[in-house]
Parts: sequence; C-alpha cells; structure tokens
Amino acid sequence: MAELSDALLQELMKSFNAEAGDHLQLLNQSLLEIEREPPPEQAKTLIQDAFRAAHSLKGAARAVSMKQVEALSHAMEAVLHLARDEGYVLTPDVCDVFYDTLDAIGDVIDGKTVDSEPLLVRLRSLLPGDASDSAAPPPVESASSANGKHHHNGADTDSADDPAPSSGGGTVEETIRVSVSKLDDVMAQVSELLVARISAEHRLTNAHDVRYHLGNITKGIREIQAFAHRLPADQSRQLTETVDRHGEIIQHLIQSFDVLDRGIYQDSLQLGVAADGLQDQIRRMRMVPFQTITLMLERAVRDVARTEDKHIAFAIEGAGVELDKRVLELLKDPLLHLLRNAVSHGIEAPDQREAAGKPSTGTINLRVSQRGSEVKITVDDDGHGFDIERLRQAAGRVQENDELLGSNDVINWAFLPGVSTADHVTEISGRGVGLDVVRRQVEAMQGRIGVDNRPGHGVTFTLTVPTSLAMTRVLVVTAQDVNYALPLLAVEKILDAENTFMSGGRPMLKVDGVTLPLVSLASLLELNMDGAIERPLVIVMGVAEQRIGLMVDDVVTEQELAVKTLQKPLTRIRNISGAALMGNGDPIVVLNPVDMIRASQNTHMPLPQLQIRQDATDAEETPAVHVLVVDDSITTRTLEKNILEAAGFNVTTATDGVQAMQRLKGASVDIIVSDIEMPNMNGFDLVTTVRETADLQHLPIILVTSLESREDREMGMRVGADAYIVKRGFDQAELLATIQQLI
Amino acid sequence: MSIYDKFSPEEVDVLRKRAERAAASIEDRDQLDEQNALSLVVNKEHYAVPIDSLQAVYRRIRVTPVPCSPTFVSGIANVRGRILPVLNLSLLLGAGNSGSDDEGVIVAANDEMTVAFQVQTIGEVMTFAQVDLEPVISGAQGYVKAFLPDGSGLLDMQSILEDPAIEVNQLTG
Repeated sequence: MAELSDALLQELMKSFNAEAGDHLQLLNQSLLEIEREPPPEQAKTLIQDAFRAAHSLKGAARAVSMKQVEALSHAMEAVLHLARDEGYVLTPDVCDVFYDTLDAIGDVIDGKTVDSEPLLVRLRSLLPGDASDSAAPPPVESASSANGKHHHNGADTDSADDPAPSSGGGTVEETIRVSVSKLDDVMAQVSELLVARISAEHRLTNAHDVRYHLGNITKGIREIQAFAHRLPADQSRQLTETVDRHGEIIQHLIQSFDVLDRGIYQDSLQLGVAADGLQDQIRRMRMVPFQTITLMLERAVRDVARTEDKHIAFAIEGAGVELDKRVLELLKDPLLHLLRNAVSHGIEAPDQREAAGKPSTGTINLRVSQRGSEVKITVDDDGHGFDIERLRQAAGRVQENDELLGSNDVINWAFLPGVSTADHVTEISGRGVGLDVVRRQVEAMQGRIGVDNRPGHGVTFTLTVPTSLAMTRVLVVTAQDVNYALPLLAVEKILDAENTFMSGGRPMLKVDGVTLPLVSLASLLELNMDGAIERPLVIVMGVAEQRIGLMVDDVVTEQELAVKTLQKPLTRIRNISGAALMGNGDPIVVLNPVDMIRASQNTHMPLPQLQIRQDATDAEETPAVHVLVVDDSITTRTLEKNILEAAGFNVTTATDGVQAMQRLKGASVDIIVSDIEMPNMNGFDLVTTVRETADLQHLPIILVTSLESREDREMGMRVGADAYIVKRGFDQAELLATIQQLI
Repeated sequence: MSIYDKFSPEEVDVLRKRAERAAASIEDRDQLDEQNALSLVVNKEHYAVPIDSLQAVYRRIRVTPVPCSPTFVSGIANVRGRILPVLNLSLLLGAGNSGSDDEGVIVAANDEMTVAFQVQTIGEVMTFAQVDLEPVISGAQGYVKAFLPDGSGLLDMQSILEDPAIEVNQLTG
C-alpha cells in the first residue's frame, strides 16, 4: 500500500468503521432470520444479503489494510458462497461460529487485540474438504488502488453477478451521519440562545424604566411651560421658546422610544419562538428508531437460549418507534436484563413445558408503542410466572419494607433489592440484584416500570419512558446539608470565600477587578441557618450581564440531569425551576438563576457567621484599623465600642485623657474618638497634648460630645481636632463615615 | 300509639332502611351501595377516604423539602419514578401541624395533577354504606362531605385537588 498521510488514513478509518458497522449489522440480522427457518424464497434472499455483506466487508478491510478483518470476512464469504450455491445448510452450530466471528471483527474494529487464528480454523473446518482450497486467503498484493487495478475483478467472479442493491422502489431519503457530540454542541448553543432570550426580556424592563423617566420629564417640562406662560410676556418670551422647543424634542424622543419599545418586544418574542423551535428540532434530530437496539436484544435472547438449551420464539413489534438516542442507550441495560431473566427464569425447559401442556417453544414478545410524549414497552413471556409464595418468602428475608402492600402489590416485592426467587444463581441473572437495578435504571430516565403476573402462564413487564429527555448540565451544591442543582449555564467560576468585604452595609466580593454583590444560598432560599460554615465556597453566577457571588457550603459534583418542571399544584415557586431524580433515586431541587439574581438585588440578606473584613477602598491585605475610644461614661464607651467592632474596627478604650495618653504610648492607634467632658484630662487637653507629641502629631482625632455651642466647636477646631460630632442625635452612620474620611 | 309516631316520615324511612340492612343476608349487601374506605388519623383526628378516590398508598416515603414554598407544601418525593408534590394534609384540613410524625402518604389524582398527601396514621380498610353516612352540618371543613357512623370525616379528595387555595403560583415581579 502506498504511503498515506496520517490525516487521510484517519479519515479512511472513520468511513471504514461506519461501513463495517453496517455490514456486521446486516450479517447478524440475516443470520438471525435465517435461523428462524423462513420460507425458501426468503432464505435465499437472506443468504444473498449476508454473502454480499461479507464480500463488501472483505473489500473494505483490504482497502485500509485491516488484514485480520479481511481474512475473517473472506472465510465467512466462502461458507456463505456454498450456502448460496451448493445448498450448504447454516445450522445453529455453524451460526455460532459466525456470531463469534462477527463479534471478533467488532472487537478488532474497536481496537481490541484479537487472535483470529482459532476462528479462521473453525470457519475453514466448516467447509467440506475439496472446497477448503478456495477458502485460503488470497495472496496479499501490494497493488495500490490508485491505478485502478481492483482485486475484486480477479479472483472473485461472483461479484460480477451481484445485482445492484435495490431499494424496492420509491424515493430514497438522503441521509447523513452526524456524530452525537456535534448535536450536543448545537444543543449547547441553543441554550446560549435561550439565555439571550431571557436577556432580551430584561431589555424590555429597562425600556419600560426609560419610558417612565421620559414621562416624568414631560411632566416637568409641562410645569415649566405653565410657569413660563404665566410670566409677563416680554420677560418670558425667550424662556417660553426654549421650553417649548425642548418640550417638542422630548415628544419626539418619546415617539422614537415607543417605536423602539415595540421593536424590542417583537424581537424578543421572535427570538423566543425561534429559540424554542430550534431546541425542539434539535431534540427531534436526536431521535432514532427503536430498531437501533433490536439486533443486540435478539442476539442476547438467542445466546442465552442456546446456553440454557431452551427454544425461544422472540418477536419485536413496533421497532419503528422513535426515541431520543440517549433514552435508547439507557434502555439497553434494563431490557437486556428483563429479556435474559425471561429466558433464564421465566421460560421453562422444553420437557417441563410439554408436561404443562405448553408448546415446547417458549414465546417472548417485546412491543414498543408510542403514546403522546411517552413510549410504552412491554416484555411478556409465556413461562411459569412469579411464584407469589416464593416471592413472599424471599421478601421476608429482606429487611426493607417501605410500601403498603395489598395482595396485588406483592409482586412489587420483586423489585426490592436482594429479592430473588431463583434457587440457582446463574451467571446471567438471579443474584437478587436484578429487578431492583432495573427499576432504578428506568426511574433514572424518568420512566416507570410495572409488572403483571400470571402464575403458571407468564409475566408481562411494562416500561414507560419519555420519548426524549431534556438533560441539563448542573452543578450540585450544598446549603445547610441539603443538595441543590444549579444549572451550569449560569455558573462562571467557583472560588474560595476570600476577598469579601462590606460596602454600604452590604457584603461584596471582588473578582477580577470587578465588585459583585455577595449572597448566601441559604438566605436566598430562606433556610434556617444554624452554625457557621467552615470553608464556604463562592460561585460567581451570571445571567445576561447581571452577576452575583453565591455563597454555598460546598460544591459536590457536576452532572447531567433530566429536569422536569414542577407540576400542579406547585405551578411556580420563586428561585426554583424544577426538580430531577439523582442516580440514587432521591429528588433534587433545581434552582432558577434568573430569579435568584433578581432576588439578590432586592433585599439585603444576612450572611452566616463569617469573618468579613472591613475594607473601605479595596480588598488588599490591610490590618484592621485601630480606634481608641475615650469616654468617662461606661455606657457610651460600650456603645461606641460595639458599633465600631461590628464595622470591623479594632477598639481600645480609655476612661479619660490621662489613660488615653498611656494607651497611645503602648499600641499603634490609627484614630481617636474622644468625649470632651472627662475628669483628669478633658478632650480639649487631650487633643492639645497629642498634637504636641512628636510622633502623634498627625493622628486623626474626632471629638464626640454633648456640648453643642459654637464656642466649643471652635475650641475643638482651634486645639486641632479633625472633626466634631454632637452626641445628642447620635447617629452611628455619621461616626463611621467620619472615621472613613479621616483614616 | 306506635313508637314510630315520635318520628318524622323521613326519620322512619331511615330507620326502616337500617332495619332492612341489618336483616339483610350477606348476598343482599351488594345491592346496598357499599363502599370501601381507608381510615386515617390526621394529627390525632379521624378521617376516612373512599378507596376509589385514591391512586395509591405508601408508607415511609422520603420527602425532599422544597424551599420558598408555603408551609402546607411538605416537599417532593420519588413515587415509582415520578416526582410528585407532597402536601401536608393536616395543615390543609386545619387540624394543625403534626410535625414529623407522619407515617405515610395517600395519592390522589385528577386530570390535571397527581398529589401525595401526608397523613399521620394509615389504618384499616373498612366498609360503609351510603345510608349510614351523616351529612355535614354547615360550618364543617369544605373537604369533608359526610361523617361515618364512628365519627370519622369522609374526605372528598377531589374537592381538595380542585381547591385553588392549594395552588402555589408565585409570580415574580
């Protein structure tokens, strides 16, 4: 083979994988049908289909140098050739070899290491002696296909006879393969679009606000106009003209604005319709027919039946029903389990069946039907059904008993973990883990499972699943020991709760140079907050341009959930957009970021006990400001101390000027708040002394006093105080503000 | 003078029906319009619910609380794969709040919704006949349409489901 570039080789491999998958599927399907002993005409077509598939697979494998696949395909092709032309019978034993080969080829394509020798030996041994020569793999030629020399036309004359594949008339629908991840990406983009829609709705609110203000301006202009018109004409003419002109401008402004407003409304409506429509279409793109998994189910039933030596007729009805690809993926396991159970434990051995007057071949039916937005799948067998007594005993051995059980509900005990009536544990099922897991799997995709038992005559399982799942990626967070799901769409970052500070009495957070309001999830959700949080985390949340810092106790994990909106009577609850079931079956509340951001802007919420550092300007590491409070009244001292400490200051107290000077010598004080009327050394003298002390000269001093006279105020200024606050209307805000100004 | 002279014609009628019923054999009972009801205790008060009006009954369901909702909303629960709202029946009946003593839930549904109601104790299934019911004197709770002979209030689940007061619709500004 000529040297191919890596990129080209990769592309070729991708197409090969897809093509090979199709051939393998066709081979599997054809063989399964052949095994059901269809009428000769049909059998002929099936064998031809299988032959052609093996042939094409061989050719494709050769083109990409997959030697093992090529050899195995060739060996199968040889046997099928005999079956087609020489009446070679494809017995179950022969089919066994084929199935193993097909599985092996599948493994090779998946990249697993496979030893194809034993299979080749088995395949070759299927052939009668004189034909085995032609089954030897053709010598590998190093001819490149570039010069058009195709190996097919040489050794295999049959291919010339191959009729072109007919599609049975009618139009052929053009299809194109798209990887699921691409669809997921598109889905994510649509979610962005939905956020834009929400943002557009906010613009409407903004627009209304502006309109309101314009209305007010108009009123104001009218008032001025009225006033202007009342003035004597010669004085007012210019004024009147100006005002009238501006009145007109405002009117035009309002008119233009109304046009804008209507435009915004229309656009946001249209955006909404388009976004919803798009989301719908994409969801439908992910729908695939149930047919996609039927092969696997048929193979499973066949394999278990072979192992247990039972005869089973397995029919699937309604394979054309379409479901979301992910739902279908999730259905594989539970259905496989139910089917294997049916074969292993449901259907009896042929002799037992005959003894019971049943046909020796057991019947299992799988029916798929659509009902609105749900798909109903029934799996029924005509085996011996559940033995209620055995079930009761088995359940009695198990502790859990969390449901009220009437006689019909006993059957639901089968779904409890650890319950099994099988008296032998097979490799396949019967460990007592089975049906419980099945129910969990079904419930995890928002589905339901029920069972109808006909003792002696079989069992019918009914699964109901949604046609499509709206899966949302969420971040699972904790507040007050309860988990909540936060749509990942609204999450920008997760940080430690540092860089928090108070501003205007509200907690804030600085992120990347921007200040955001800080809110705790517990208070937003109006939860009882008990206990301080050890190491809270902050989630920076944003919708459109609004952002907040949301404080939570912990971040658990990120995952995908099928979110359902809450149903009546819980029509609309603030801060909540719905609920979902977690893997363990517990419901989790899913939060609504838009509501939460809006709510956090409205109210001032308490934060749980946390060290919030007082920092006026920016959030760098600054030690707390040290204030010296001087007052002879213990009440006043205590009051001021409390106020200042709550605001984050470090406070020392002194009872008079003398003590104050002592304190100043010891510690490094940043600012003094002092009374005037004190024994030993009053406030004025204190100020004077401080101003005379070398390294304390520039220390800011606030005099707080009940003395109100102007003389006292002037005295205070004269001795060098920086501010003078009167105690009578003691306002803590004023004190704090003054301190802020001076430090 | 007959003792029946003391009673009004309607009362005589009721008495006669009771006598007939008492004298009736088991087979005749089918014609006497009998129903089954599940007896309940809701915060120490006795009630009964016609079995026909219930979808299911469960003990010990785990309820996940839903924040920002009124007190009568206990939360949501996973019931056979469906997320159902769980309401506190005790509060809805005005019987006070039983706290966390509730033993189980009864599930009722109509065209629009399926709801689970928490109850304190789930009792036995008992039989009653229409004739035994005593109508509610005005002033009793709207959800109880009749009283059974033992004094339990017979709950009309549909009237609870249809009551707009149980709908939680917080329009955000």
